[in-house]
Amino acid sequence: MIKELEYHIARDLKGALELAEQFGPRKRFLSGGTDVTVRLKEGLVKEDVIVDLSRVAELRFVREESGVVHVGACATHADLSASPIVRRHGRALAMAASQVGGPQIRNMGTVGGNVANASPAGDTIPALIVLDAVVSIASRSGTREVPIIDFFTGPGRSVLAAEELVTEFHFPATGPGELTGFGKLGSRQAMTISTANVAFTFRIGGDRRIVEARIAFGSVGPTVIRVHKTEQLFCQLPPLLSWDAIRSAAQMAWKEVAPIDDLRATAVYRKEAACGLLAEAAYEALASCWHER
Amino acid sequence: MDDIHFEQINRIDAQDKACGTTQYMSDLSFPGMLYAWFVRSKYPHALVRSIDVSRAMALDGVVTVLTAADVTGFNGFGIVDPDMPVICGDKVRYMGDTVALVAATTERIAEQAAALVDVDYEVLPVVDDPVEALKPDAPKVHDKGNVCLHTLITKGDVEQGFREADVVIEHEYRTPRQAHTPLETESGVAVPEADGSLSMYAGSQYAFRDQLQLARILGMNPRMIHVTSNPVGGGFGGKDELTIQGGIALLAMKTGKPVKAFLSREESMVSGWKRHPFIVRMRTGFKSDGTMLANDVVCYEDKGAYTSLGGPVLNLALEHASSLYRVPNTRHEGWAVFTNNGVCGAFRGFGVPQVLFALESNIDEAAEKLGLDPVTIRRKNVLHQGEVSPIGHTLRTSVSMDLVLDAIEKSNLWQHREEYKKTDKPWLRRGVALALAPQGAGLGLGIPDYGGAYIDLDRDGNFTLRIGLVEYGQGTHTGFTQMAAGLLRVDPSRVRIVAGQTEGSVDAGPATASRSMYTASNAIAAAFRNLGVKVIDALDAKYHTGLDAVCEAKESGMTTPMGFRTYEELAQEFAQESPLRGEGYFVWPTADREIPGAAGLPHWIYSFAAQAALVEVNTLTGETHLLRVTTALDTGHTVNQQQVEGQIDGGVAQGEGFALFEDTLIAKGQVRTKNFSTYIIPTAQDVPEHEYIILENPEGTSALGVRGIGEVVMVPVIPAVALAIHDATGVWVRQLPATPERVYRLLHPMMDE
Ligand SMILES: Cc1cc2nc3c(=O)[nH]c(=O)nc-3n(C[C@H](O)[C@H](O)[C@H](O)COP(=O)(O)OP(=O)(O)OC[C@H]3O[C@@H](n4cnc5c(N)ncnc54)[C@H](O)[C@@H]3O)c2cc1C
Repeated sequence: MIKELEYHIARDLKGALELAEQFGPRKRFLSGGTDVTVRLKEGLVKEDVIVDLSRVAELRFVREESGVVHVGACATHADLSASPIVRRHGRALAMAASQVGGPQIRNMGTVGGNVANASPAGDTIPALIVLDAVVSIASRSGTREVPIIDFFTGPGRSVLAAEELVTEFHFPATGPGELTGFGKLGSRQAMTISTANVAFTFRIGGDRRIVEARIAFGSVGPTVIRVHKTEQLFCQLPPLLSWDAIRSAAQMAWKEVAPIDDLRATAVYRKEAACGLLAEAAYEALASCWHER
Repeated sequence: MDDIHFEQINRIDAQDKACGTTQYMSDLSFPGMLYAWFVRSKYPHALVRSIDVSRAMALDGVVTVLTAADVTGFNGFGIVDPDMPVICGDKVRYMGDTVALVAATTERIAEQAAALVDVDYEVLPVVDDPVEALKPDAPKVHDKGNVCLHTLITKGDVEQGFREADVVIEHEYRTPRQAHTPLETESGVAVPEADGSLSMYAGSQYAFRDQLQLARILGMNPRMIHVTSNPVGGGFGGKDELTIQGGIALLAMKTGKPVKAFLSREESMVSGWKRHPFIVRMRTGFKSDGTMLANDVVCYEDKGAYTSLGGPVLNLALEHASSLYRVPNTRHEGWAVFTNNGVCGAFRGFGVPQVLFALESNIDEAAEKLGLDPVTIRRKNVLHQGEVSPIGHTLRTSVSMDLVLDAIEKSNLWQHREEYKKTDKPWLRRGVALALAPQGAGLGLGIPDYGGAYIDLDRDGNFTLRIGLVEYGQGTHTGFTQMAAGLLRVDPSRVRIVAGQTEGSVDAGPATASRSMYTASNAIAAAFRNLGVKVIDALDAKYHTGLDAVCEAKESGMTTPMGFRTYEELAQEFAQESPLRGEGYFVWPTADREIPGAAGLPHWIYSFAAQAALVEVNTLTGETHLLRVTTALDTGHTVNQQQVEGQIDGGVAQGEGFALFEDTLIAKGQVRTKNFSTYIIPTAQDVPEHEYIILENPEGTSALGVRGIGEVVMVPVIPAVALAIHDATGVWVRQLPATPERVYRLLHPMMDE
């Protein structure tokens, strides 16, 4: 049984910020509603006011400006998967968005909701992390920018204050020589919460070596995490496509992730599978890049 | 009637269902209707010391709250043994047990009131393991003990068989608590009528049995209870037994108002029927040439809290524990054991998937040990018509084990399996395997298994076919229409069907056990013959044309003693009298002798299918994708090709779910997978490519040669998937579903160290 709620529809950003200030901690934003409605049904929403952002058109966009990709908080997963800009300059994000839920969820669910929800399993989060995204946050009193890696403070928790909302994400457009990708392990091939997910960006040097690596895992810790030791090992890979070398570099992640047992999988399996997931996704990306040249 | 032609039409209900205009029972509402809420147990196993409903009654909008004392008739239901209380008075045995019923003016108030019912429980230890529950000192779920049924069937001397065997394979297998997951959860409306009767509108698989069970619960004459249970938004066996009907019937009779219930998915998952999980210990002996010598099987069936159809499921499993292979020495033993793990009942396949997973696995393992291929070892052992089954009865009706085996061997997937298995990813492995299954149809020996049908020649020259069997998605009503139209030689659009209601249609038994099409073929053919007799009688009464003629259907009419008459002409001829009605009744043929110690066995008519599966296993994560399935199926005589393919598609998906995804997890009596975020069923992305091979070996006891196919299409695919994982990776899967983590652990047994 869903409790009775006060429902306000914001028409524009200014209106949304006013409502946010007016109701403060009593309100909950609703963007696509694909997380909020599930929680409402389960009786897990303590707030009694809903502020609906779904009609705030100025928060729904994707654009590129002087080498920086900007994604509005209300851009849907379907928007991101179809956007030529995201596909070209932030492929990991397009891949992640295209694997969220099913078509209905991707049509409704937004990237802002996915991030603000702060689930360790949120699929776009590791992608945004390896793209070095920055979160733009606004309130009536101004705006601030937070690197996405610092945005999360725990499962379901973030640095957002009650009167603040996320307006957009921006990240440097990936260019030639940068490889980025995403992989996900679930209980089936669609409509599945990640048992583990992984995203990476590799910058490839002239000698075909990886000169910089960013790798982030979801669903294997209280927040999405970067695995710095594994990243270093990827930078030491030989300049040829070797499954064994990739597999053993990926295996380092075993030491850097800290999953728990839950209904979906045990912690020890998650560790193993996370390493495998990285090896597989990295191999696919490196293989396609080296075949091209 | 071999020349009968079935016009290939689209489903007669396709447009309404696609457009959303079909009125399911859960769509109905009536003026002044109240809403029911089932107050469910707080504990999986407890004594009920007292119940206080005063706070609930005091809530505004609450019309009544019922407890066990308010049950007007017998407080229990169950198809075999009515041991499940409608409202529990002294004891609860699972989380879905009802301790009180609320009726209120809105659903919200009903739910709020339910939370105000105060129950004082004395918690008892939870019985959650069927093997432990058999121990003498185990806590008892029922006073009668935890054994619901024990069956032992033996033939020959298994020990002698094992002594002669060159290879003996012995393993323990485990199967999941699959949920039916129909789109429409348990729901319906009970309406008290002015004449004191009760109308029950609730989707179920057998209106006429619901009528009797409700009469017993209410303490009313069954004639005063009218049940409409058609159409149903999905059943799969989960609506064979009563669900919410008893509760809303009591509330409606008490309040004098229509009362509706429509369970949430979560409540359905906790309270609803499930497939019985089995532990199967199977020891199978083979000669070095693959000949089967002995099969020793012990099954533990997790019955859950109440009997329902647990006995027949166990016995059908034991009947099939050596399939229809030539096994001279068998010992099939089974225990149906009460636990506090929810409730289990009928489910498509009815025990057969559980045992054939074990048997087909043992056979493939023996083949591998003996260096035989999977087709050769099976061909050596399949039985033919006239031979003796592994449980000792002679197979008198048609047997198509070799037919489906030959077809699957010749299939594209099997012939080209080495090509299908190629992959260039270092972490992926592909495998192909096959399995076959017979599935005994009908209710079995000793249980009256009959079907009736009426064909009315309406005043306008069209027809109304009246038959009890409900439509819950299988497409049977389309098939019935085609059969009637084919016999009458009219366009199918001229046959209207009235089904699934105790008023206006005829009892044709439950829509279960792969029996609908077969039963209907005989009942409709009998009704058609009888219509001819009625025409002769009527003409004789009017014109003295004599009685010894036979009417023959010709294009849109019949030959009569007065020459050919169109149906319009016949209808007009008798327009003043009551409409001409052909009445057909049919009783299933059965064996003449029961299998000793096994009620209901043997079954007499079988379905047959063989399936091959191509899987891809990710060795890094254990994920298994089912890529391709080929089904070789004997329909006897295909009535509607599209519906047969639809049954295969759905059956394969449900079999895939059993093999790879689905399991209702219950820990200490509590359901952990209450909705579709944790209870995983295959999506459109997960289902494989299909290849259909439709075979037609007519079943001689059907007037139209048809046999049921609804269950068997989901059975062989289950072992085929498990065995394809073996072909891909070398590991044997002994527990289903083969989830990624389970497969990963098989591939990496040292993981925890
Ligand atoms: C069937 C199903 C399948 C799913 N599958 C996946 C999956 O595969 N992968 C995955 O990652 N997720 C999945 N989800 C979860 C969900 O769809 C995603 O997290 C989605 O991106 C949430 O976006 P939304 O716009 O619907 O969020 P909402 O439900 O509207 O909001 C989510 C949270 O974010 C807050 N919020 C929203 N927008 C803002 C903003 N601009 N500023 C501040 N706070 C904001 C809300 O207050 C709320 O707390 C699934 C959900 C369902 C129901």
